[in-house]
Amino acid sequence: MPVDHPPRGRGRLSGWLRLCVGLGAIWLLAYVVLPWGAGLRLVRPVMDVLAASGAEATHYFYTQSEETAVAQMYVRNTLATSRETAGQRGGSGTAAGSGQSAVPGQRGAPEGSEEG
Amino acid sequence: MSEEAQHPEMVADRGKWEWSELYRKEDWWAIWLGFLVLAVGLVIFLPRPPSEMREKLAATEAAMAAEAARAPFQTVEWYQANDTRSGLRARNEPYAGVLARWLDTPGAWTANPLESLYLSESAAAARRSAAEPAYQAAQEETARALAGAREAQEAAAAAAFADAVLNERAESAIREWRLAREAERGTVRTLATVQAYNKIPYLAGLLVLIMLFFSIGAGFIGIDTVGFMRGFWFVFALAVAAWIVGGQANLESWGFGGLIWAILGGMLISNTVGVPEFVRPALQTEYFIKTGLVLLGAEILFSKILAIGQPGIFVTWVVTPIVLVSTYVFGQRVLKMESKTLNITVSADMSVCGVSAAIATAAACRAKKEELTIAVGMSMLFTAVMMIALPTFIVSVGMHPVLGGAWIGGTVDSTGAVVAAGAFLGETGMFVAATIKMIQNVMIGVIAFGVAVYWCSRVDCLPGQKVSKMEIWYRFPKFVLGFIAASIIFSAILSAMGGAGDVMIDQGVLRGFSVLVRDWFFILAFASIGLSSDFREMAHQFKGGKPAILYVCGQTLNLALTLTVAYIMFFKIFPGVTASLMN
Repeated sequence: MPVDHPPRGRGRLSGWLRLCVGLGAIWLLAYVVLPWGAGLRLVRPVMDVLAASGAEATHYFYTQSEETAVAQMYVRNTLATSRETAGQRGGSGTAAGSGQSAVPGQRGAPEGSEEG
Repeated sequence: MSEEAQHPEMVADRGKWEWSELYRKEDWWAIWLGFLVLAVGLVIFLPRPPSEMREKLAATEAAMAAEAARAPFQTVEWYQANDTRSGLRARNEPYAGVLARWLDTPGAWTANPLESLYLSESAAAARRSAAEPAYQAAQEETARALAGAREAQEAAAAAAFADAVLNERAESAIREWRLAREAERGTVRTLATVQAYNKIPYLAGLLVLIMLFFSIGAGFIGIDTVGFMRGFWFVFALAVAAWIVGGQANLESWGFGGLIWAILGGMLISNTVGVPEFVRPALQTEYFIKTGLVLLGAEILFSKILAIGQPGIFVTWVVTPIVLVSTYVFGQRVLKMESKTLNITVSADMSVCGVSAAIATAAACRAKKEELTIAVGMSMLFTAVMMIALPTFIVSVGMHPVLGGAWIGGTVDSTGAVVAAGAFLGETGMFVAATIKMIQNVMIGVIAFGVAVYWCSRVDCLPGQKVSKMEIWYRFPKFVLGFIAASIIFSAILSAMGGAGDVMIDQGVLRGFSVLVRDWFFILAFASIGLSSDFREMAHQFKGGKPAILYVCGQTLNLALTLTVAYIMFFKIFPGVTASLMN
């Protein structure tokens, strides 16, 4: 990576003032702007669910997220037991993870009215 | 004037290798140190599995299979076995608790930042007592819903599960129980079970440990070791301050966590009062990031890509590369972006998975720090918007939760935001969203490797120059080898261990140890980036707003393509997967 050049020298007082302004901007964001945004009619319902669930929106990778661990376990077990059940019933029950297409209206087929 | 003189920034063909690089180069030290951490994790966790682990694994799997054969829907007993299976974790063992305390970051707070570091027993008791009524009510509701679910299930079982009406009632009662259980285990339980803590001594100890850890290789790679140790406390203090700021409740709820505050805080210092000279030897961005990336490699577990079956593979591993390449080409040919490294870093963070993809890609193509900052900053901003807008839209149009979950998982950048957005769709939607995002995360390994090879062989060369294989090897960022090797080794270990791998590796070595270490390395890297960044350079990189235009256009393609492919995969080609998830 290229060598970084430090910023030019500035008056000490001016520098500290600008630092305080920057910190003030962060305070405004945390205590004024974001709470206002969270209270907007369209935003509030999502924020309420987020607050109740305890999910941490700051996690940037799946291994940091507790919910991802639970989710993948549930999905994996669901599909595994569905495959076993389909195998035991000779493929007449729920088809999971295979290329079989389900006829709309039969058990196991997604309802068309729920699709976007 | 020769072509080399005209392009001094391009590396001419050298193609030589020296064995001394194994102990003189930063990339190799990142690999050795990264593997040292992983080895320590394996030594700590593998000999100490939870008691009766194998018996519990076998019992839960047998119970789930038996229940699946007994009833046409997921019974109470199936869910309980799944929950037990999910709760089997090596990181719940007492020794892992000691590790977690040492590696813990400052916690969440609302009005008093000191609460992120210290909570007295009296304050903890006051919180527990304030939250107790709500927690008790939630527990009673769960118990009531469970009793209702059992009763409805027994009625359905009495009819041999042949009565569709009784089956539907049982499923509905079980869903109610799951919702009540989810509410009981959320914020209300966290508040009702809070314990006193004092993180300050552990943070002080961690500062010394990490400083000594990186000092091991510092002298070999030409870093002024004494200078590094003298200035490291400042970088560490900024990292801690960034965690504290990112733990503020309002900032955290919008996804603005420690990493972005490490960069912004550092930039604020460096562009106002300036960075003291004694700190500069400790600003080892690449050293921290490359070591962290080797640890991240161990979390790239290839078996995860099959988590949701073939639909998941198409939605992530087919759509994502198409969006990545299309966005990059658009950036070069249409927007005519000046910097290819900025282009690929932004394209990767938008199309793959945000911050982690940006870090890996930027390191693989040797992007500038300011370019990584721009990519990360934009990702976080747009993620905050999409975390709200996407689920609101999905629910308002009545979209199927599996489709909506897949759409969120494939397009919203960070895992935390995906989980938050998915939670708005309900449990199934959130599970699908989180699983899709996890599969996308696993793509980082391939992306980083591909970008590194492409950059070495096609980008970083003189026009018309054909690069030899030896030269590609010479230019190749070696830490990527460690990244890939860690991924392959841990994927192999996980597969070989079967069910125990989830308990000991995923929920042990990784989530209980190396993830926590990696978090610290990345925030130290971002603090170093901030402290050595120049606003003017960043403003120049952002000229014309091209990075933002690139992001928006790429994300528009991503949204359209992901929705289309998710619909085709989950509803036309593999509807059985969707039916199983909804059953």
